[in-house]
Amino acid sequence: MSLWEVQRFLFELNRATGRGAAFSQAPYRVVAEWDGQLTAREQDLLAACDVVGLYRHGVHGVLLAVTATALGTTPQQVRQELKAAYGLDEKGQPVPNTPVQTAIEEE
Amino acid sequence: MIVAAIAASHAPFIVGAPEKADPKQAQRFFAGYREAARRLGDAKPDAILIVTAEHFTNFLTVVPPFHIHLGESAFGPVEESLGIEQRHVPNAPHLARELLDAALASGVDMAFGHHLDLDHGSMVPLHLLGVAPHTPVIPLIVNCLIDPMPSYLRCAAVGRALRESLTSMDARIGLVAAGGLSHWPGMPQAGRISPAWDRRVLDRLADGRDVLLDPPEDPDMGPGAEELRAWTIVAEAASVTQAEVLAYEPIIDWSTGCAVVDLMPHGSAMLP
Repeated sequence: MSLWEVQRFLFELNRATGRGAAFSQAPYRVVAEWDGQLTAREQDLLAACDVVGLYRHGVHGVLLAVTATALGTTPQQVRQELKAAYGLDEKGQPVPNTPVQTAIEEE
Repeated sequence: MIVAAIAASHAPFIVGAPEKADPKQAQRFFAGYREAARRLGDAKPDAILIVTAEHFTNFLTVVPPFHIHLGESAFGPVEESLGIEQRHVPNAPHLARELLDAALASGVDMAFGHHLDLDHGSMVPLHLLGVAPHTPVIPLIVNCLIDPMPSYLRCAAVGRALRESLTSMDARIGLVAAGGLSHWPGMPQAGRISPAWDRRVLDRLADGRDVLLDPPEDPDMGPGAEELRAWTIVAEAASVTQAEVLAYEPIIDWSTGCAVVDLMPHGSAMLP
Protein backbone atom coordinates (compact mmCIF):
# COMPACT_ATOMS: atom_id res chain seq x y z
CA MET A 1 0.00 0.00 0.00
CA SER A 2 2.78 2.35 0.88
CA LEU A 3 4.61 1.61 -2.36
CA TRP A 4 1.50 2.65 -4.19
CA GLU A 5 1.53 5.95 -2.29
CA VAL A 6 5.15 6.52 -3.27
CA GLN A 7 4.28 5.94 -6.89
CA ARG A 8 1.22 8.17 -6.62
CA PHE A 9 3.42 10.93 -5.21
CA LEU A 10 5.76 10.66 -8.21
CA PHE A 11 2.88 10.44 -10.68
CA GLU A 12 1.25 13.57 -9.27
CA LEU A 13 4.57 15.36 -8.98
CA ASN A 14 5.07 14.83 -12.68
CA ARG A 15 1.58 15.96 -13.62
CA ALA A 16 0.91 18.88 -11.29
CA THR A 17 2.01 22.19 -12.70
CA GLY A 18 4.20 23.95 -10.18
CA ARG A 19 4.65 21.07 -7.80
CA GLY A 20 7.92 20.10 -9.43
CA ALA A 21 9.25 23.61 -8.88
CA ALA A 22 8.11 23.56 -5.27
CA PHE A 23 9.77 20.20 -4.81
CA SER A 24 13.06 21.49 -6.17
CA GLN A 25 12.91 24.38 -3.69
CA ALA A 26 11.87 22.47 -0.61
CA PRO A 27 11.66 18.72 -1.20
CA TYR A 28 11.20 17.70 2.44
CA ARG A 29 8.36 20.16 2.91
CA VAL A 30 6.55 18.99 -0.24
CA VAL A 31 6.94 15.37 0.81
CA ALA A 32 5.78 16.13 4.34
CA GLU A 33 2.69 17.90 3.02
CA TRP A 34 1.69 14.97 0.82
CA ASP A 35 -1.82 13.78 1.63
CA GLY A 36 -0.97 10.10 1.41
CA GLN A 37 0.63 7.93 4.04
CA LEU A 38 4.36 7.56 3.57
CA THR A 39 6.80 5.98 5.97
CA ALA A 40 9.74 8.02 7.22
CA ARG A 41 12.00 5.91 5.02
CA GLU A 42 9.86 6.61 1.96
CA GLN A 43 9.82 10.32 2.73
CA ASP A 44 13.60 10.30 2.91
CA LEU A 45 13.95 8.40 -0.36
CA LEU A 46 11.69 10.87 -2.14
CA ALA A 47 13.09 14.04 -0.64
CA ALA A 48 16.66 12.92 -1.27
CA CYS A 49 15.74 11.92 -4.82
CA ASP A 50 17.32 8.54 -4.13
CA VAL A 51 16.34 6.87 -7.38
CA VAL A 52 18.25 3.69 -6.65
CA GLY A 53 16.57 3.40 -3.26
CA LEU A 54 13.18 4.10 -4.81
CA TYR A 55 13.77 1.49 -7.50
CA ARG A 56 14.77 -1.08 -4.90
CA HIS A 57 11.66 -0.15 -2.96
CA GLY A 58 9.68 -1.30 -5.99
CA VAL A 59 8.96 1.92 -7.84
CA HIS A 60 8.49 1.26 -11.55
CA GLY A 61 11.58 2.27 -13.52
CA VAL A 62 9.55 3.97 -16.22
CA LEU A 63 7.83 6.10 -13.58
CA LEU A 64 11.25 7.15 -12.28
CA ALA A 65 12.35 8.03 -15.79
CA VAL A 66 9.31 10.12 -16.64
CA THR A 67 9.42 11.88 -13.26
CA ALA A 68 13.15 12.60 -13.43
CA THR A 69 12.80 16.22 -14.48
CA ALA A 70 10.28 16.98 -11.77
CA LEU A 71 12.65 15.38 -9.27
CA GLY A 72 15.39 17.74 -10.40
CA THR A 73 17.41 15.21 -12.34
CA THR A 74 17.26 13.77 -15.86
CA PRO A 75 16.19 10.45 -17.35
CA GLN A 76 19.80 9.93 -18.42
CA GLN A 77 21.05 10.49 -14.87
CA VAL A 78 18.45 8.10 -13.48
CA ARG A 79 19.55 5.51 -16.01
CA GLN A 80 23.21 5.95 -15.13
CA GLU A 81 22.57 5.73 -11.39
CA LEU A 82 20.57 2.53 -11.78
CA LYS A 83 23.18 0.98 -14.04
CA ALA A 84 25.99 1.90 -11.67
CA ALA A 85 24.12 0.48 -8.70
CA TYR A 86 23.49 -2.81 -10.44
CA GLY A 87 26.85 -2.99 -12.20
CA LEU A 88 25.40 -3.05 -15.71
CA ASP A 89 26.78 -1.36 -18.78
CA GLU A 90 25.01 0.48 -21.61
CA LYS A 91 24.14 -2.84 -23.19
CA GLY A 92 22.56 -4.02 -19.97
CA GLN A 93 25.36 -6.50 -19.43
CA PRO A 94 27.41 -6.96 -16.23
CA VAL A 95 30.48 -4.78 -16.03
CA PRO A 96 33.46 -7.06 -15.37
CA ASN A 97 35.47 -6.52 -12.20
CA THR A 98 33.14 -3.84 -10.91
CA PRO A 99 31.82 -3.96 -7.36
CA VAL A 100 28.08 -4.33 -7.54
CA GLN A 101 26.06 -2.95 -4.66
CA THR A 102 23.31 -5.48 -5.14
CA ALA A 103 23.22 -8.32 -7.59
CA ILE A 104 20.12 -7.84 -9.69
CA GLU A 105 19.34 -11.53 -9.56
CA GLU A 106 18.91 -11.31 -5.79
CA GLU A 107 15.97 -8.93 -6.06
CA MET B 1 -12.81 0.82 -44.25
CA ILE B 2 -9.33 -0.09 -43.20
CA VAL B 3 -6.90 1.20 -45.79
CA ALA B 4 -3.54 0.53 -44.14
CA ALA B 5 -2.05 -1.06 -41.04
CA ILE B 6 1.43 -0.28 -39.83
CA ALA B 7 3.24 -1.55 -36.72
CA ALA B 8 6.33 0.28 -35.52
CA SER B 9 8.58 0.90 -32.56
CA HIS B 10 8.17 4.12 -30.62
CA ALA B 11 11.26 4.37 -28.38
CA PRO B 12 11.90 8.00 -27.39
CA PHE B 13 15.55 7.89 -28.43
CA ILE B 14 14.47 7.36 -32.06
CA VAL B 15 13.63 11.03 -32.36
CA GLY B 16 15.11 12.36 -29.12
CA ALA B 17 18.67 11.17 -29.71
CA PRO B 18 18.95 9.83 -33.26
CA GLU B 19 22.65 10.62 -33.31
CA LYS B 20 23.31 8.01 -30.63
CA ALA B 21 22.65 5.13 -33.02
CA ASP B 22 25.05 3.57 -35.47
CA PRO B 23 24.45 5.74 -38.57
CA LYS B 24 23.99 2.79 -40.92
CA GLN B 25 21.48 1.14 -38.62
CA ALA B 26 19.62 4.40 -38.15
CA GLN B 27 19.60 5.01 -41.88
CA ARG B 28 18.07 1.60 -42.59
CA PHE B 29 15.52 1.99 -39.83
CA PHE B 30 14.44 5.47 -40.92
CA ALA B 31 14.20 4.22 -44.51
CA GLY B 32 11.69 1.66 -43.27
CA TYR B 33 9.68 4.35 -41.51
CA ARG B 34 9.76 6.50 -44.67
CA GLU B 35 8.43 3.62 -46.73
CA ALA B 36 5.68 3.04 -44.19
CA ALA B 37 4.87 6.75 -44.29
CA ARG B 38 4.66 6.61 -48.07
CA ARG B 39 2.31 3.64 -48.00
CA LEU B 40 0.15 5.16 -45.30
CA GLY B 41 0.00 8.44 -47.22
CA ASP B 42 -0.84 6.69 -50.48
CA ALA B 43 -3.76 4.98 -48.72
CA LYS B 44 -5.23 8.46 -48.11
CA PRO B 45 -6.67 7.81 -44.66
CA ASP B 46 -9.39 10.13 -43.38
CA ALA B 47 -8.37 9.25 -39.84
CA ILE B 48 -5.81 7.22 -37.95
CA LEU B 49 -6.55 4.76 -35.17
CA ILE B 50 -3.37 4.43 -33.14
CA VAL B 51 -3.14 1.58 -30.65
CA THR B 52 -0.33 2.09 -28.21
CA ALA B 53 0.97 1.92 -24.68
CA GLU B 54 1.28 4.95 -22.46
CA HIS B 55 3.92 5.58 -19.83
CA PHE B 56 2.39 6.98 -16.63
CA THR B 57 1.26 10.01 -18.61
CA ASN B 58 -2.41 9.55 -17.80
CA PHE B 59 -2.94 6.43 -15.77
CA LEU B 60 -1.80 5.24 -12.37
CA THR B 61 -4.63 5.70 -9.90
CA VAL B 62 -6.90 3.91 -12.34
CA VAL B 63 -5.37 1.66 -14.99
CA PRO B 64 -7.78 0.57 -17.72
CA PRO B 65 -6.74 -2.45 -19.78
CA PHE B 66 -8.15 -0.69 -22.84
CA HIS B 67 -9.07 2.97 -23.14
CA ILE B 68 -10.38 4.91 -26.10
CA HIS B 69 -10.29 8.68 -26.22
CA LEU B 70 -13.53 10.48 -27.06
CA GLY B 71 -12.37 14.08 -26.60
CA GLU B 72 -12.03 16.61 -29.39
CA SER B 73 -8.25 16.45 -29.26
CA ALA B 74 -5.31 15.16 -27.25
CA PHE B 75 -2.21 17.12 -26.30
CA GLY B 76 1.26 15.85 -27.01
CA PRO B 77 3.98 15.01 -26.78
CA VAL B 78 4.29 15.71 -23.09
CA GLU B 79 8.06 15.18 -23.36
CA GLU B 80 9.69 18.34 -24.69
CA SER B 81 12.95 16.41 -25.02
CA LEU B 82 11.61 14.58 -28.07
CA GLY B 83 11.95 17.70 -30.18
CA ILE B 84 8.53 17.10 -31.71
CA GLU B 85 6.32 20.18 -31.78
CA GLN B 86 3.77 20.04 -28.99
CA ARG B 87 0.24 20.43 -30.27
CA HIS B 88 -3.35 19.47 -29.83
CA VAL B 89 -3.81 16.43 -32.04
CA PRO B 90 -7.36 16.41 -33.40
CA ASN B 91 -9.49 13.36 -32.69
CA ALA B 92 -12.47 11.98 -34.57
CA PRO B 93 -14.84 11.66 -31.61
CA HIS B 94 -17.77 10.38 -33.65
CA LEU B 95 -15.67 7.56 -35.10
CA ALA B 96 -14.16 6.85 -31.70
CA ARG B 97 -17.66 6.56 -30.28
CA GLU B 98 -18.62 4.13 -33.05
CA LEU B 99 -15.65 1.98 -32.15
CA LEU B 100 -16.49 2.14 -28.47
CA ASP B 101 -20.09 1.14 -29.15
CA ALA B 102 -18.91 -1.75 -31.32
CA ALA B 103 -16.60 -2.94 -28.58
CA LEU B 104 -19.32 -2.75 -25.95
CA ALA B 105 -21.77 -4.56 -28.21
CA SER B 106 -19.21 -7.33 -28.62
CA GLY B 107 -18.75 -7.76 -24.89
CA VAL B 108 -15.53 -5.78 -24.58
CA ASP B 109 -16.05 -3.29 -21.77
CA MET B 110 -13.58 -0.72 -22.97
CA ALA B 111 -12.91 2.35 -20.84
CA PHE B 112 -13.29 5.77 -22.33
CA GLY B 113 -12.45 9.34 -21.45
CA HIS B 114 -12.53 12.92 -22.66
CA HIS B 115 -9.08 14.09 -21.64
CA LEU B 116 -5.87 12.45 -22.75
CA ASP B 117 -2.26 13.49 -23.06
CA LEU B 118 -0.01 11.78 -25.55
CA ASP B 119 3.57 10.74 -24.90
CA HIS B 120 6.25 9.27 -27.12
CA GLY B 121 4.21 6.09 -27.42
CA SER B 122 1.89 7.89 -29.83
CA MET B 123 3.83 10.89 -31.00
CA VAL B 124 6.99 9.20 -32.26
CA PRO B 125 5.15 7.04 -34.81
CA LEU B 126 2.72 9.81 -35.77
CA HIS B 127 5.70 12.09 -36.40
CA LEU B 128 7.76 9.57 -38.35
CA LEU B 129 4.78 8.36 -40.35
CA GLY B 130 4.19 11.91 -41.48
CA VAL B 131 0.63 12.08 -40.21
CA ALA B 132 -0.50 15.59 -41.09
CA PRO B 133 -1.44 17.89 -38.19
CA HIS B 134 -5.01 18.19 -39.44
CA THR B 135 -5.55 14.42 -39.78
CA PRO B 136 -7.75 13.14 -36.96
CA VAL B 137 -6.11 10.57 -34.72
CA ILE B 138 -8.10 8.26 -32.44
CA PRO B 139 -5.89 7.07 -29.57
CA LEU B 140 -6.62 3.63 -28.13
CA ILE B 141 -4.42 2.92 -25.13
CA VAL B 142 -3.68 -0.65 -24.07
CA ASN B 143 -2.01 -1.30 -20.75
CA CYS B 144 1.37 -2.80 -21.57
CA LEU B 145 3.17 -1.32 -18.57
CA ILE B 146 1.59 -2.12 -15.23
CA ASP B 147 0.84 -5.60 -13.93
CA PRO B 148 -1.61 -7.16 -14.33
CA MET B 149 -1.98 -6.64 -18.07
CA PRO B 150 -4.68 -7.94 -20.39
CA SER B 151 -3.96 -11.28 -22.02
CA TYR B 152 -3.00 -11.49 -25.66
CA LEU B 153 -6.17 -13.43 -26.31
CA ARG B 154 -8.18 -10.58 -24.84
CA CYS B 155 -6.28 -8.12 -27.01
CA ALA B 156 -7.21 -10.22 -30.01
CA ALA B 157 -10.84 -10.09 -28.92
CA VAL B 158 -10.61 -6.30 -28.82
CA GLY B 159 -9.24 -6.29 -32.35
CA ARG B 160 -12.05 -8.53 -33.56
CA ALA B 161 -14.61 -6.39 -31.77
CA LEU B 162 -13.39 -3.35 -33.69
CA ARG B 163 -13.04 -5.10 -37.04
CA GLU B 164 -16.62 -4.99 -38.29
CA SER B 165 -17.07 -1.39 -37.29
CA LEU B 166 -13.80 -0.37 -38.93
CA THR B 167 -14.46 -2.26 -42.15
CA SER B 168 -18.00 -0.95 -42.50
CA MET B 169 -17.12 2.69 -41.91
CA ASP B 170 -17.32 5.01 -44.88
CA ALA B 171 -14.26 6.78 -43.55
CA ARG B 172 -10.88 5.51 -44.66
CA ILE B 173 -9.02 4.41 -41.53
CA GLY B 174 -5.30 3.88 -41.22
CA LEU B 175 -4.29 1.65 -38.33
CA VAL B 176 -1.06 2.12 -36.42
CA ALA B 177 0.24 -0.24 -33.74
CA ALA B 178 3.02 1.35 -31.74
CA GLY B 179 5.61 -0.23 -29.47
CA GLY B 180 8.08 -3.07 -29.07
CA LEU B 181 10.11 -4.99 -29.83
CA SER B 182 12.52 -6.24 -27.14
CA HIS B 183 13.65 -3.63 -24.62
CA TRP B 184 13.95 -2.89 -20.89
CA PRO B 185 12.50 0.59 -20.42
CA GLY B 186 13.47 2.39 -17.23
CA MET B 187 15.37 -0.57 -15.84
CA PRO B 188 19.05 -1.11 -15.06
CA GLN B 189 19.08 -3.63 -17.89
CA ALA B 190 18.18 -0.90 -20.41
CA GLY B 191 20.20 -1.49 -23.54
CA ARG B 192 19.73 -5.23 -23.42
CA ILE B 193 17.77 -6.44 -26.42
CA SER B 194 17.10 -9.81 -27.98
CA PRO B 195 17.54 -9.78 -31.75
CA ALA B 196 16.83 -13.53 -31.81
CA TRP B 197 13.44 -13.05 -30.18
CA ASP B 198 12.65 -10.02 -32.32
CA ARG B 199 13.44 -11.93 -35.51
CA ARG B 200 11.46 -14.95 -34.37
CA VAL B 201 8.40 -12.77 -33.93
CA LEU B 202 8.91 -10.93 -37.22
CA ASP B 203 9.59 -14.10 -39.19
CA ARG B 204 6.42 -15.72 -37.91
CA LEU B 205 4.44 -12.55 -38.47
CA ALA B 206 5.32 -12.71 -42.13
CA ASP B 207 3.14 -15.83 -42.30
CA GLY B 208 0.21 -14.49 -40.33
CA ARG B 209 -0.90 -13.08 -37.01
CA ASP B 210 -0.96 -16.25 -34.91
CA VAL B 211 2.34 -15.33 -33.27
CA LEU B 212 0.64 -12.29 -31.76
CA LEU B 213 -1.87 -14.48 -29.92
CA ASP B 214 0.83 -16.25 -27.94
CA PRO B 215 4.22 -14.61 -28.43
CA PRO B 216 7.28 -16.72 -27.67
CA GLU B 217 9.17 -16.17 -24.44
CA ASP B 218 12.79 -15.14 -24.13
CA PRO B 219 14.71 -14.08 -21.01
CA ASP B 220 16.23 -11.15 -22.85
CA MET B 221 13.10 -9.76 -24.50
CA GLY B 222 12.42 -7.50 -21.53
CA PRO B 223 9.17 -5.97 -20.31
CA GLY B 224 9.09 -3.59 -23.27
CA ALA B 225 8.12 -6.56 -25.39
CA GLU B 226 4.75 -6.47 -23.63
CA GLU B 227 3.90 -3.65 -26.03
CA LEU B 228 3.30 -6.31 -28.64
CA ARG B 229 -0.27 -6.22 -27.34
CA ALA B 230 -0.83 -3.14 -29.50
CA TRP B 231 0.26 -5.15 -32.53
CA THR B 232 -2.13 -7.95 -31.56
CA ILE B 233 -5.12 -5.61 -31.50
CA VAL B 234 -4.32 -4.05 -34.86
CA ALA B 235 -3.44 -7.36 -36.51
CA GLU B 236 -6.76 -8.86 -35.43
CA ALA B 237 -8.70 -5.77 -36.45
CA ALA B 238 -7.12 -5.92 -39.90
CA SER B 239 -7.34 -9.73 -40.22
CA VAL B 240 -3.67 -9.82 -41.06
CA THR B 241 -2.68 -12.89 -43.03
CA GLN B 242 0.84 -11.82 -43.86
CA ALA B 243 3.09 -8.94 -43.11
CA GLU B 244 6.07 -7.28 -44.67
CA VAL B 245 8.96 -6.22 -42.49
CA LEU B 246 10.09 -2.86 -43.82
CA ALA B 247 12.93 -2.51 -41.35
CA TYR B 248 14.41 -4.27 -38.38
CA GLU B 249 17.48 -3.08 -36.54
CA PRO B 250 18.59 -4.10 -33.05
CA ILE B 251 19.76 -0.64 -31.99
CA ILE B 252 21.48 -0.92 -28.64
CA ASP B 253 22.05 2.82 -28.34
CA TRP B 254 18.31 3.36 -28.61
CA SER B 255 17.87 0.48 -26.16
CA THR B 256 15.34 -1.19 -28.43
CA GLY B 257 14.86 -3.82 -31.08
CA CYS B 258 13.44 -1.41 -33.64
CA ALA B 259 10.99 -2.57 -36.30
CA VAL B 260 8.65 -1.14 -38.90
CA VAL B 261 6.14 -3.56 -40.36
CA ASP B 262 3.41 -3.25 -42.98
CA LEU B 263 0.66 -5.49 -41.68
CA MET B 264 -1.40 -5.10 -44.87
CA PRO B 265 1.13 -5.09 -47.69
CA HIS B 266 -1.57 -5.93 -50.22
CA GLY B 267 -4.03 -3.33 -49.04
CA SER B 268 -7.64 -3.65 -48.02
CA ALA B 269 -8.37 -6.37 -50.60
CA MET B 270 -7.39 -8.86 -47.90
CA LEU B 271 -10.36 -7.98 -45.74
CA PRO B 272 -12.19 -9.48 -44.01
